[in-house]
Amino acid sequence: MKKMKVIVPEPVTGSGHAADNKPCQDRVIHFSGTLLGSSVTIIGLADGAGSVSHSHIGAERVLDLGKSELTEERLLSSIVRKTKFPRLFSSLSSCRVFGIKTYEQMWPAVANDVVQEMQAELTRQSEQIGVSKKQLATTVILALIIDDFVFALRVGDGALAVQTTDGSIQSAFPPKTNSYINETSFITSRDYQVECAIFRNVESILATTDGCEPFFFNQMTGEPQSARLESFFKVAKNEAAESKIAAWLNSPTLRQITQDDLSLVIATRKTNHDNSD
Amino acid sequence: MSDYDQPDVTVNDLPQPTLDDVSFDRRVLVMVLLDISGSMSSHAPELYRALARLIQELKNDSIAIKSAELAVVGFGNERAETLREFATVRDLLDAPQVHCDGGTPFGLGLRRALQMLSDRQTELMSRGVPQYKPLVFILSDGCPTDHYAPEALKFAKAAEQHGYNVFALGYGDAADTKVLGSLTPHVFKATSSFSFADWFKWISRSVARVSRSSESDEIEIEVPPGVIKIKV
Repeated sequence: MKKMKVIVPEPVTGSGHAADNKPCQDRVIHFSGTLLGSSVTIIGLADGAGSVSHSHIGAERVLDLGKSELTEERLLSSIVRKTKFPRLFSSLSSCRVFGIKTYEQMWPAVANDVVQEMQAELTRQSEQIGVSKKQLATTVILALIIDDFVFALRVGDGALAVQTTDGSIQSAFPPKTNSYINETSFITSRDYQVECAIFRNVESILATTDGCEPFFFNQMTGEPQSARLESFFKVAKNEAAESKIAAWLNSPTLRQITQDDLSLVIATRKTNHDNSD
Repeated sequence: MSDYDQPDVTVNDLPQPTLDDVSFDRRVLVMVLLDISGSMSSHAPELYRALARLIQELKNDSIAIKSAELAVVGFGNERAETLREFATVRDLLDAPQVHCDGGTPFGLGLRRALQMLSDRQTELMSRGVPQYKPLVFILSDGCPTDHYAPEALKFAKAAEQHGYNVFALGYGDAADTKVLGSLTPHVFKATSSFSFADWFKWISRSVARVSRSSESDEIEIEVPPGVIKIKV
């Protein structure tokens, strides 16, 4: 199984936040490594709530796992420990025997555990800096790619598309099409929901916060804009993809047509060329 | 697919966003429902200036100019009058002239406002344009002179069902704040320091704030200058 190549451009401060002198409230992370013989990639995006005071910290805390102090290997083991993914890994062998149904039964429980851990982290953080937890409100998308599976969770908005090895592209988490924009729920909301998805035979994924979301997903149907996504997946396999996609994210036109912060993460199978490096 | 070599592509293969990409459109509907009965006639020039200022302030806001759609409905002279159909602030050329006359057909005004909101929301939904919760601002200086109660009930139900944020202002001693309170918990009464200019400036600030929001929280209501909040 080829490892994943991950493109994680720095989030771009939306023109609205820039005009109001507010910090970028999007955060992204990614980790890659091998665990228990499996190739593991984790990507995460969090979008802090626009009108609360410390949401950029909330977004950071749900994703940050001590990045600056740890090597990648230790980091991976840290994220696994902190997010209770060991439950997933320890079940991996038996799941391989029983197939995807077992994963489907297991992932929602694990995902809920992960979100509870994130909430606990926000509680600790709110006490530490002396603000209410509500002030740390954030959405989150987390995707864990193990071998050819992707396990994903979402709380709030943002979207995730998955391309499988047959080339087809699907919305794992389509944009919310039936609610008002200002009805987004956050990990701190009383009525938050943890949405879960599992896909197999994963070739590429693209996750985005709501800033770029309209470019990649039809806002009425929630369907992925497959032609656009396919182009991004192809470029992601190319050399210097990071700088090319970062340049796209920083496009003045994009920053003009939306005032939101902009972030996206792409993970795609490495090519033969990449693997021979 | 995993087995192919590095694709021969360049950054030019990335589809680029364009300024006319409607998929990024967002809207906040703003309905201003004005009492234009005879008792408001001495305030007509003031109302016109305040509406013009509201439009100008929203035009000056980089986000509201594109996302706010403003409509103005008047009720007076035994009828409801659409003073401005919903249009983005960017496309509004001027404020409507306000002619005040006759009684206070509040029920007709509510019915017209609700119909316009419903029609516009349906149209935006059919085009897949994401919306913020609509904002409705009502101003009245008297008691309804029509059979308003069934319309008020329909309006209040629709507002609750569809998540409208409704703010009602009673102006002057004759204003019936109980009637306004049947529509929304956000009822204000003008005090001696009230000015239409301040009220409409507050509306513009509220619209600007909503058009930047993305949260589930209710809008924080600061009491605008020159009014007191009425318990309903």
